[in-house]
Amino acid sequence: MDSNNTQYWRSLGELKQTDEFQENAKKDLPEFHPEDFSGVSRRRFMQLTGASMALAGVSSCRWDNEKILPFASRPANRIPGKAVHYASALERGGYGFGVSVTSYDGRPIKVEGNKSDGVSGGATDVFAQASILELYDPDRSRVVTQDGAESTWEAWDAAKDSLPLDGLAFLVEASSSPTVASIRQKIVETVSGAQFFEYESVSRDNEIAGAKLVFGTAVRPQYDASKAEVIVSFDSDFFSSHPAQIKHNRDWAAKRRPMNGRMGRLYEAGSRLGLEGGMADHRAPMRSSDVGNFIALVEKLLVDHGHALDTVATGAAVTNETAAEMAAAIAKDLGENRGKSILVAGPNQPAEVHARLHHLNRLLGNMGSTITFTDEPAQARPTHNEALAAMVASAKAGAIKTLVIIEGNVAYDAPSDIDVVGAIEGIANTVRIGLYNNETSGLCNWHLPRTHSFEAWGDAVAYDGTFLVSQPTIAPIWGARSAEELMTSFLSTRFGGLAKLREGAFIAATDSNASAWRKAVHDGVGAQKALKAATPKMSIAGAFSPMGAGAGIEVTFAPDPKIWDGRHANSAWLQELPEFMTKVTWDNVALMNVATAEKLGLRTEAKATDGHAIADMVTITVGGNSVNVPVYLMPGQAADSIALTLGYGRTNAGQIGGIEGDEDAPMVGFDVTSIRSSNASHIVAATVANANATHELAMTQEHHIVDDIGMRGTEDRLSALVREANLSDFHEGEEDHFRHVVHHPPLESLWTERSHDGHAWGMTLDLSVCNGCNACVVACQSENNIPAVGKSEVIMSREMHWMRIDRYFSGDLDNPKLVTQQVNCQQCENAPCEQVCPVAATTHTEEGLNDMVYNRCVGTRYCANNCAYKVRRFNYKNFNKNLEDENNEVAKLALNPEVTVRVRGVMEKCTYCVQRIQEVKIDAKNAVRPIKDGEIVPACGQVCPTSAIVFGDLADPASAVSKGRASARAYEMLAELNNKPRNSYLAKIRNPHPDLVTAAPAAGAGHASDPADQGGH
Amino acid sequence: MSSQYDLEILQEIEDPTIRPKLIMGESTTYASLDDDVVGIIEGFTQKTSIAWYLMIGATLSVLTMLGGIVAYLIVTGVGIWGNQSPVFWGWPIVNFVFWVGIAHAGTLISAILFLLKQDWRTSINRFAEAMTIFAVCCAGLFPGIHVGRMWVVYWLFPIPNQMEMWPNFRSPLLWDVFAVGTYATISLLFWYMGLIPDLATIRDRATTKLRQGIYAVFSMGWTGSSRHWHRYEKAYLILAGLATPLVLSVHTVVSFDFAVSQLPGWHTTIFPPYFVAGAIFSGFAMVNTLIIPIRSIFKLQHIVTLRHLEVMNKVILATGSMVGYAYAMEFFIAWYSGNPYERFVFENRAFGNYWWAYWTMVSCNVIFPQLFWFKSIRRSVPAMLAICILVNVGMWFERFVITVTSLSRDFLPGSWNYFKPTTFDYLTFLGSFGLFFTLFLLFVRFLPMIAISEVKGILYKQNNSGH
Repeated sequence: MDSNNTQYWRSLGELKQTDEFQENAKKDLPEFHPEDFSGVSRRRFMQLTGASMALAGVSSCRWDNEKILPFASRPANRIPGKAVHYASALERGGYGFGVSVTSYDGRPIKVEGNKSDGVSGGATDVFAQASILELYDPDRSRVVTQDGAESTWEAWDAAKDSLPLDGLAFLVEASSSPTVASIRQKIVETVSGAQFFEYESVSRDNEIAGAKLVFGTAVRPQYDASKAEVIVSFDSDFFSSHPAQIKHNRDWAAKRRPMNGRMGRLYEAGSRLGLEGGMADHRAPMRSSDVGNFIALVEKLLVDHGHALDTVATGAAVTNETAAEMAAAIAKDLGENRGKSILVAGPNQPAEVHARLHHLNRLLGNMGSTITFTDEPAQARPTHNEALAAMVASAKAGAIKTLVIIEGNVAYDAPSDIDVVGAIEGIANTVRIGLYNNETSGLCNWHLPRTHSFEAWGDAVAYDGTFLVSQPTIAPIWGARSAEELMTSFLSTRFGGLAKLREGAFIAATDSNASAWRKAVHDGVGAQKALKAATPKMSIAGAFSPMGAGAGIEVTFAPDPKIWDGRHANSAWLQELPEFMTKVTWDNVALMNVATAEKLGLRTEAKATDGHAIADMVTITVGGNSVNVPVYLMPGQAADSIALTLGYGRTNAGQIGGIEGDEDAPMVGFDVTSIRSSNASHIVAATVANANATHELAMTQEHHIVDDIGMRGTEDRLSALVREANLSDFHEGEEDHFRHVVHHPPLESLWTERSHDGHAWGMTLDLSVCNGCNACVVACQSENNIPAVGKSEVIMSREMHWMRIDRYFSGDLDNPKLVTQQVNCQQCENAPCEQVCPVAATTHTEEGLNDMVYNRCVGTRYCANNCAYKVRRFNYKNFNKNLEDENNEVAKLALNPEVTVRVRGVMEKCTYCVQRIQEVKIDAKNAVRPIKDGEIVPACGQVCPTSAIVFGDLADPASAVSKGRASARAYEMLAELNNKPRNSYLAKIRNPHPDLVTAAPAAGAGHASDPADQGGH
Repeated sequence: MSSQYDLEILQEIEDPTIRPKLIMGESTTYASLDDDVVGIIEGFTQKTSIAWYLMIGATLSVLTMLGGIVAYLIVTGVGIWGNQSPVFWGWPIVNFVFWVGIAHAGTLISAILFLLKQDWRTSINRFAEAMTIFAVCCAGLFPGIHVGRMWVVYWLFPIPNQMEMWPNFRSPLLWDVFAVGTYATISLLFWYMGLIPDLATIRDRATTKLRQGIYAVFSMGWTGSSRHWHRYEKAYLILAGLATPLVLSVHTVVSFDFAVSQLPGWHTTIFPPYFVAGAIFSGFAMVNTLIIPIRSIFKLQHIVTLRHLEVMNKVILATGSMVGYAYAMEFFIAWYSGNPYERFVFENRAFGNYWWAYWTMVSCNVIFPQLFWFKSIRRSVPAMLAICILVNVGMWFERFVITVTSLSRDFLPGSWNYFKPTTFDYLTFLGSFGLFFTLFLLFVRFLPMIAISEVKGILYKQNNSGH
C-alpha cells in the first residue's frame, strides 16, 4: 500500500490486519478470481458484482458482524430494487429446460420459462418453479466432508491429487450438456481405463429401445400436437411427465378451444387416471399390462375398417366393454384423420409397444406431419439399469479404485436387485458431489457441495434439441463447485479452461461460431438446434404379440408429479402441493380401484364424521420384498392395478423431506424402491395384502367418498359451478350460452355500486384447457411469499395456497369424468368480504381490485366466512417461524421483496399479483405510453402451458380478457349472488365421439330447471 | 330440595279462593328478610365457609387455566383452536353467542317485567342481573381473544387515531361491539343502582369498621330518605325503559353477524326474533339452573318460591316453543325458497355429518321443554333442574349447529371440510365457566342475592293488600 495515501479503517482489526480480520474478510467477501474476468462481458461483470452484493447479505447468516459495502456510485444500467431477468437453464434426467430468472439486486427470486426455448415457450412446470426454494434451501450441503467430518476444499484438492487414477470411474446423472459430454470424452481419452456409468431411476429407456427395434437406431420422436385432430394416449405421460409436456400441452390447447365447431379429440387407455386421462374425451381404464392387447385390437379394427396394414397384430381378446367400444371409435377416428393423429405410449410400456406405435403412426401417415424425429443423444449408452449393473459388476471385480459420483442418489433409488451399496462400500476411494449431503454421500469417503444450476455456468439441450445456456445468477452461496469443475480437475491438460471447453462444445453441438455463442448466452438459447432432424428408415415390423400379462394384480411405478424420483423431496412447496388427482400432500399413496380394495377387505367408505382421512395400509410384495403403503381409493384407477409413485420415504433428505431417526424431521411417505428391480422397474406383477394398519393423510380436498348427502349436494350443484357441454351442443354464436345455466331473480345491490374509471382488471380461466399441472399453484406460492404450513396444519385444513385447483369427479366410479376448476380470488365488484370487515382492512381500489390491507387486519376472519369461494387464507399461526431460525436465514433470500411477508393473525388472498400490475403501470407512466394488452401477466398466467389463465383490462374492449369474457363460453361462478366477480370461467367443452355419446351432460343443454328462476332471461 | 314452603305454596296455588303469596312464611318481616339475606354475607358459618373456599378454589383454578390458555394463545396464535378453512369461526364464537344468550334473562326480568309490573320478578331479579353481568363478561372475552391480532382489537372502536381511519360501519361485527357494549354498560348500571339501598343496609348492619367502610363507599351515601327513594325510583324507571329495547336489540344484532352474511344457513331473516327467543330461553334456563341449588343451600325457599320457579318454567316453555317454531320455519323456508344451497344446508344439518349435533339440539331445546306442559313436571324441582340443564346444553349446540355446520359445507364442495375441535377448544370453554362461577361465588359471598328493598315492597303489598 502506498504510504502517501491516507489509510481509512473501520475497526482495530482492520487497521492492524490481524489474522482474525483477514480470515473474516476472506469469509465475508467472495473469492475473486481474476481469470473469471479475462475477456468477460459487461453482463458477466454485472452478475459478479450483483452476486457479491447478495453474498454480502448472505454472509450474515453465519457471522454476527455484518459488513455492508455500498456502491460508491451506481453501476451503469443498474437500478436498485428493479428486477432484471437472466436467461438460464435447468436440467432433470438428461433433458434441459430453458428458464428466465428474475433477480433483485443480484438475488434470484423467481423463475419463469424462457420464451425462446422450444419446449418451455415461456411456461414452466412445478419443478422449475420450486427451483428457487432449492437454491436457498438451508439443508443444501454447505461444506466439504470427509468420512462424515467437516473438511475443506483445500483438503479435498490435496487428497484428490493422491487418488489412484488407474481405476477411475464416474457414476453420473444423465446429462444433455455438450460441455459435460466433451469433458467426459477428454477424460476417457486422457485417463486410461476411466469409465462412465450413467444412471437415472426414472428413464425413457423403453422408448429408446422401441425406436431401436423399428428403426435400427435410436431416434427421438418430436410430436406436434397442434397438427393433430386425434391423440390416443396408451398409458402415456404425454401431458404430464414427458420432458416436452409443456410443448405438448401448449400445442394441444390450441386444439381444445372450439373454433368454428371443430376441436381435437383425446383418447386414453391406461391404468392410472393421470392428467392425460383427466383431459381425455374418452378413457378406458385397463391394467398397464393390457395396453398391448388393446393396441392390437385397435390395429385389428383399423384393418377391418379398410385401412390396409401390412401385418396384423395378434393379441388376446379385449373383454372390457368400455375398452372395446372405445377401440372402435378410435379406429374410426384414426381412419378419418389420416396424417392428423398421434398415437403415443408412456415410458412404462415395453419397447415392443413403442415399436408398434411407430409402425401404426407410419401407416396412418402421421410421420412427417404430426411426428418428426431428431437424433437421440442417448443412442450409444446402455440403459440406465444396465449401466448401474455394469458399475457394480466392475466394482465387485475390483476394477474400480476411485469412484466419483455426480449427483444422483443410488443408495436410495437403485433397483433392489443391484447391490450398489455393497459395491460403493467396497471401493477404496469414493467421492460424491451433490446439492445435498444425502444417503449416497453417506456411503462415500468424501462429499463435496455442488453448485445449483443458478450458481454456475452450464449448458443443456432441451428435448426438442434447443441448445440452452445456463447462466449463473448468483455466486455460489456455499462456496460450492460445479460438477464440470470437479470433472475437469481429473484432466491433466487444461484444454484452455472450462470457459473455452464450453464455447467449443456449443460450437460443435450447434455448428455455430463464436459470435453466436455470445448471443446464446444472452438469449439463453442457441440459434441452431443441438439435435439434428432425422429421417429414420423403418424396418418392416414383424408380427406384434403383446406381452402375455396374465391375470392378477399389477403394480406400476411412475415418477412422482411433485418430487420426481425423490430429488425434490426437501422442497416444502412441492411436498405441500396437493397432488392433482388425489389432493394428497406430504405423502405417497397406492392408487387402487374400489373393487380391488373390496377384494382385499379394505375399508371403502371413509368415516365421514371423524373428519380425518385415515387410509388403510396394504402390503405389496414383489419377489420376496414387500413395502407397506397407504391406499387411496381412486375413481378411474383400473381394476387389479395399483399405481405407486417414487421418491418418498427418503432417509436423509433434510428437514423437510425427512431424516431417519430425527423427530424434528419426520420421514415423508413410504419408500417403494425395494419392490422395484432392474428388470421390472415399470410394471410388475405383485401380491397385495391388507396390512391391517392405518395412516393419516393430509388432503386439501375432502376424500371423494363422503356421506350420501354431501355426495348428492355436490352432484346437484356441480353443473352450475363447473359448466360444461359437448361440442355438438355448443354454438359459438350463442351469446351468454353458459350464463343461462343458472337462473335467478333480478339482482339488486344493497349499496350504490362503484363506478370504475380507468382500468378494470379482470381474468378469464379456461376450463377447457386446464390440465391440472399445478404450475400456477407453485408459481403463485413463489411470487407471493406464501408459506408452506406442514402436514399437521394441512390436516387442520390451513394450507395457504392463494390459487387452488378444485377437482371433481362425475359419473361412473370406475370410469369417471373429471372436472377441474382453478379458483383464486374472484375480485368481486360487490365483494361480500369487504362489507363485513369491521376495520375496513379489505377494500376496493379504483381499478376494481379487492385489496387486502395486511397491517390493518385484526383477524376477525369474518371476510373469509362471507367469501362464497373460500379463497381467503388465514395465518392461524406464525407460518414463517422457520425463517427466524438462524440456520434458515438463507431461506429468506427466496422471498419476493415486492410482496409483504404476512404476520400471524392476518388474512391474505390472491391480489391478481398487484405488484406486477404496479410495476408495469409505473414503467408505462414513466415512458408516457399506454399499457399494452398482455403486458401485465400474473404469476399463475405466466407459467400456464396452455394459457388457460388470461389477465387484462376489461375496460379495453379489444383486450384478450374482454374478448374472453364476451365469448359464448364465458360465465361467472355464483353470479346469482350478485357478487359480480371479475373472474370469468370459460366453460369446458368436451368432444366425445358421436358413437359414444350416450346422453348430454346435465349442464350441456343449458337452462337447467331452477325453481328460483323467476326473473326470466 | 323441596321444602315446607314448596308444599305450602302448592296448596295456595291450587286453591282458587286465595291469592297465592309471593313471599312465604308467617314470620317473615322486614327484619327477618334482612337477616335472611344479609345474614348470608355476615354470618358465613364454618361449614359454609369451607364449602365456599373449596368451591372458589376450584373455580379459581379453572380461571387460572383460562388465563394460561389466553397467554399461550397470544403467544402462539388462534391456531391452537380447531378453526380452519372453511370453518373460520369455531367454538370461540359459539361460546360467545352462548354466553350472550344467557345474559338475556337478567335484563328481561329487571326491565321488561318491571315495566309490566310483574311483582314476582323481585325475588329473582338481583340474582338474574348478576348472572347477566357475569355472562356478558364471559361473552366479551371471546371476540376479544378470538381475533388474529388481539393487541390491535381496539381498532374496532371508533377512536380518533393518527391513521384517520374509521371502522367500517357496514360491518355487523361493529354493530356487535356497540350492541354488546351498550348492553353491558346498561346492565351494570341497572344492577349497581338496584344494589345501592341493599348495600346501605349491609353498611348499617356492619359490625366491623372495615366492612362498614367498604359498603359505605359503594352505597354512595344512601340514607333512605324520601328524596333518595324518589330519585331512585325515577332513575330505575328510566333505566328500565332504556334497557327494554336493549333486551331485544342485543341478540338481534348478534344474529346479524350471521344473517347479514351471504352464507346459506346464516342468511335468513328469521334470525333476529329467533335469536332473541333463544336467548331468553337459555337465560331463564340458566337462572333456574343456578337458583335451584342456591335457594336450598341458603334457605331462601320462602323468598324464591316454587311459584317463582314455575313461572320461569312457563317462560321457558313459551320461548322453547318459539325456538322450535323457528327451527321448523327455517326448514320450510329452505324448501319454499327454492334456493338449492339453502335447501342443502338444512338437509345437511339434519342428516349430514353433523346430524348428532342437530338432533342433540332439537331434543334438548324442543322436545324436553315440552314436558313443562305437565303441571307435575313444571313443579318438580329435580325435573326442572334436569330440563334446564338440558336446555343449556341444547342452546350451546344450537349455536354450534348454526356456526359450524353452515360454514363446513358452503358453496363450493371443493372447500368443504369437517371441523375438529382441539383440546384447547374444550379447555377454553371450560375456562369461561371458571370465570363465570368465580364471579358468581364472589357475588354470593359479598353481595345480597335478593333485592331486599324490593322484596320488602312486595311484602308490604302482600301484607296490606286491602282486603
